[in-house]
Order: sequence, then C-alpha cells, then structure tokens
Amino acid sequence: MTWLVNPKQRGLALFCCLIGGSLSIVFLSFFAEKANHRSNGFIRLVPPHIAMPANIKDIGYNTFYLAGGTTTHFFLANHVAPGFILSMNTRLKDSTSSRISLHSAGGRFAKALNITIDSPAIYLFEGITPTVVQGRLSDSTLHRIPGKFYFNLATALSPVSEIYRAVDDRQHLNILVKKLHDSVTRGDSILEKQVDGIFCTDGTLHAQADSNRLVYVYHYRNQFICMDTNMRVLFRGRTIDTNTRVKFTVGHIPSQKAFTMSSPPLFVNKESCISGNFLFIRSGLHADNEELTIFQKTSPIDVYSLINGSYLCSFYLPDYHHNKIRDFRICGNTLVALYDHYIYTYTLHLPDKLQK
Amino acid sequence: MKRSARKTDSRETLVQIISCLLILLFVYAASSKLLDYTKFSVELGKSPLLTAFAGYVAWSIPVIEIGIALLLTFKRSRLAGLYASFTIMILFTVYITYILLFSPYVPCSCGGVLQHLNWRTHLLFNIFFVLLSALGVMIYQPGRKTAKWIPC
Repeated sequence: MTWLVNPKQRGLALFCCLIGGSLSIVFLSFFAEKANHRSNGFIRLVPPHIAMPANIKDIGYNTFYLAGGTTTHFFLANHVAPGFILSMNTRLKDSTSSRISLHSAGGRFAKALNITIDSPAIYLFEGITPTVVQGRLSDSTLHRIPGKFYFNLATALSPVSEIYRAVDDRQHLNILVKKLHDSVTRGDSILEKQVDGIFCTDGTLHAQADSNRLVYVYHYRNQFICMDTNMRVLFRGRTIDTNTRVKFTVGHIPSQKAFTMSSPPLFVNKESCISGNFLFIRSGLHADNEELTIFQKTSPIDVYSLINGSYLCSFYLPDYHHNKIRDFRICGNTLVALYDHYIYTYTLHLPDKLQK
Repeated sequence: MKRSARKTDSRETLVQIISCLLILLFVYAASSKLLDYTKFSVELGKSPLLTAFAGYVAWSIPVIEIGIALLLTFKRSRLAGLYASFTIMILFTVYITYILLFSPYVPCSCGGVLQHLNWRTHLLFNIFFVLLSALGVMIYQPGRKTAKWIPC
C-alpha cells in the first residue's frame, strides 16, 4: 500500500470514509422517508374557527393526566402522587387540590393505577393485582372491591358496573368484559384479531352511561365500535383513512419471555374522547390535502358522529412549546388539552348543521 | 537514527493497542448480537430507518464486525481494518445522531452492556472509537516486518 504512505493522503482517505459513511445514512433516510410517507389516500374537511384558543396554565408537572370532567370542571390525577387530585374550572380558575385517602383503600398501589372521576364518584383501577376501588370525592373513605380477573383497561358505567378489557389466554386475544354487581359477562367477538390479538386490538374505551353508549377506538386500524352499555354492537364506524388492516409484525423474544412489535406500528388513531353525539379522535396520519409542515406542527382532531358513524369535520390543535398534545377531553363547549406540563383550553364551535 | 527507531517502535505498539481495543469491541458487539439473534433482529425491525431491510442488516452487521476484527488481527490487512473500523464507527455514529434528532421514538438494538448506555454516553463512546481508529490510521507504520499477528 505505497499510495497511502504520507499523512496527507491518509487524512484524505479518512475524510472520504467519513463522507461515504455519512452519505450512506443520508441515502438510507431518504429511502425510509419515501417508504414511510406514502400518500395516505384521504382528505380532511377543515371548516374555519372550530377550536379557538382560550386559556393556558402551567401545572408544574408532566405527570398529571386527565381523570374526568363535568361540563364546567375537570379533574387531574397524578401518576407519581396517586392520592393527589387537582381540579379546576374550564376557564382554568378556582384550582383546588385535594387528597384522597389511599390508606382507607388498603394502602399501596402498583404503578399502573389509573384514576377515573365521574363526579362525584371516583374509581381507582389497577389491573395487575387486580384491584378496583371506588368512593365519592367528598367522602374520606374508599371501598376496595377485590378483583376477579386481571385487566388492562377499565372504565366505569355506574358505581355497580364497569367495563374491562382483559386477555383471554386460550384465544390469546383481548376481550371486553362487563361486570354488574357480582355477575360477569363476556363480550365475545367485539374486538377482532388481525395479527396477534393483543397489540393489534389495542385502543381506547369510552363510556357514556347517560346515553347508554360505549365506544371502543382501535389504535392501529381505521375502525371504532359503537355499542350500548350491554356491549351489544350497534355499528362499526370507519375513520377517514384507508387502513383496514393493522400494519405491523409481532416478534417473540424467548430469552426475555416477551412479545414485542418487530416493526414500527402504523399508529392511526391516538387519543380520543366522546362528548354528546360526537367522537373526537387525534389522528396519527396526515391527509393528502394538508402540507406536511402543518401536520408536523399541529395535531389533527377528526370529528365523527356517534349516531351513524359518519365523518363530520376536522380541526388542528397547534403544538405548544414544541410539545404535541398528550391527551384531551371535552367539557361542555371547552376542549381541555394537556401539553407536557401545560393545560391549554380551546372554545369549541361545531357548525350548527353538524349538531343535528 | 536510534531515536527514530524507538519512536517507530512506540508507534507500532500504540497501533497494536488500538487494534486490540477495536478487536475487543467488535468481537464483543458481534457475539452479543449473535447470542440473542432473535432479540437483535426484532429490535432492529423497530427502527424507522431500517425496518425495510432489517432482515439483511440483522445478519450483515455482526458478519461485518467479525470481518473487521479479522482484518485488524493480521499485520498485512491492519491498515485496511483501521479504515474499515473508522468507516463503520462513523456509520453507527451518524445513525445514532439521526435517530436522536429525527425519529419520533428511539429504539435500541445494541447488544450486551452497550444497550444500558444512555444515548449521550453511547454517542461519546462511539466518537471515542472513531477518533481512536483515525489515530490508528494516521500513525500506522507500513513496511516493517515484525510480528505478523497480535498476541493479545
């Protein structure tokens, strides 16, 4: 190798290696970009002035999550301090913090504890132990109901009845289960297996007891299921994108006894909530009629009718301090959004003709 | 004359030490990947950059790493090995930087203890080895017929 004797030549050769190495990653990223950003084959209708910015408040910690709300107030629980509840009105005033007596409910809870407040009732769900606790916000004592089965998602219909999502081991499938007093009913063939039964059926569950309604929104396919509170399927609605099939593969790692996704999932429907006859879904996909830069700096919320499942319109919630929204909820005509450790409210004006 | 010979000797030793370190790194990295190959290929599939060809990348990375370790072992191919390790470490470093800057989430498919490094230390660790192999290339002395392989 006589041609690489002097230091200058070697420096040059190293430089070439550096450029070559970097370029190959750049090429790779272009290739991946092309594969990852195909046109999604749907468009959004975006009438103006649906969500108008109202108030912002710094709540100090990003461990707060939305636990519930009424038409005028909403409640925040904290993942790190489970006994601590923060509540305020939708103008972000009158914030009060209160403590719930976890001691009366039997003390320590696993990290997976999720608090749901349907004022004045409060529910604590923790599916690993499993534990269900309920009480009233004004009372200092909570009542522990021993769990009968493990669950990975739960929502309360009333103080005596809850809906759970549990894993059926034999079928390796998530199923919905209703518990009323002590009787347990299985909701078979509501969640449909496409890949592995567990990841592919993941989604969010919402209950609206006063209008006898239960909604399940799949994360990874363009479908939501509208049911009555007895888990009878009324209809299966389609979100506006075209992903009828779940797009990821699942791998098994024997050394860790774990199942995990082995390709990046196509996340169709992220957070969602229901209010009145409307379903609001934060979509993970950009539409063909929106610029990528807009999609990168905002979160699109799509609105669907819960009466017939039709798509109504969309609006955008801008990022705040480079944070995307973590979760959102509708309280009356206010949309409450969580961004890292901020609460940002928007006033909602859905067009009149959509209200009917 | 005597002095420059000693200098050459110490350079030679330094190149040997650098090669030893790189061989250690590559053999360790490759074997920890191959020992739990399923985990490595599953984790690699999660990477937004590599998911399209995770299958090929999963076996070619450890094979290339072992290949470079072999190049570094023998005196005749050591310079090529140093260039190769420089290039592949640059590749890893740019990949990590890209993932940190642009990916919506950060998957990790490094094996063994390397997966316990946080991303900052991982980056520093890589840059250290990039500089080390560059140093190796720059001070490498061709043409001296001493030991043909490294006894390390």
